[in-house]
Amino acid sequence: MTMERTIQVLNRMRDEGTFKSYAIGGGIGVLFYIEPLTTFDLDVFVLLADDPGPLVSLSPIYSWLQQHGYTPRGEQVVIEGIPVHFIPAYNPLVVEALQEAVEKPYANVTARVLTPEYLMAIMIQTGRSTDRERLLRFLEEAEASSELLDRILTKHGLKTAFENMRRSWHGD
Amino acid sequence: MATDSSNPSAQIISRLQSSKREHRIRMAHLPIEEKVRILVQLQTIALQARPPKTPNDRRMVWQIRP
Repeated sequence: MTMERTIQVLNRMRDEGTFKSYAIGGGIGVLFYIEPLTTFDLDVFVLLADDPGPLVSLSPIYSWLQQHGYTPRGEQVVIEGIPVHFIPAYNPLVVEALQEAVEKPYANVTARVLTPEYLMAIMIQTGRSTDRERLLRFLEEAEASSELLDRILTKHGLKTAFENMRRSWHGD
Repeated sequence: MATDSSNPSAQIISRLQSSKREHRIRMAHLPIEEKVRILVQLQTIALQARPPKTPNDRRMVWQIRP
């Protein structure tokens, strides 16, 4: 399967130091924990350095990819038949989520994936309609720690946002 | 969720919701490789249902080989 090869490329980029670490998030990260939902690209969060400053450049990633025959199409790069969207760790929640990501087997390789609690926290923080829909499924289907989610939401000031989402689902 | 036992429609809807929930939970436990195969089918259906109208629409079906 090509996703296996895509993951091999990501692991190779990390091993060669193109970025410090990565983790799969977005719709495919979600796929590791709940039923399949439609998504078209593979969102890969990347930590470029130990202490990411305010100015983050993805150019080392794009240079590596171009050197290895993968041509960017706008913000996406098709790697082994799958459009990949690299997202630099853009705030403390995402940095922490990357640090706490876990290794998950996929076919014959291992992928780094965000944990369900951090995926949910990012959905709450982002708050798009897609995120609300996925979050609802997550709460029903995923095996996640509500205590850990609560700690993350408290730490990153997201408890009110979560409560507001819950109220909107229940029509309060 | 409590249902009105005197209302057959409510009972049918409740059973249907329960059955759908059980199905979703079963699907959530499928191996990730199987979920990706289903995803590719979903992408195909989604693009057939709503084909790209502009060149900027970069949605594509993943090239998954057997």
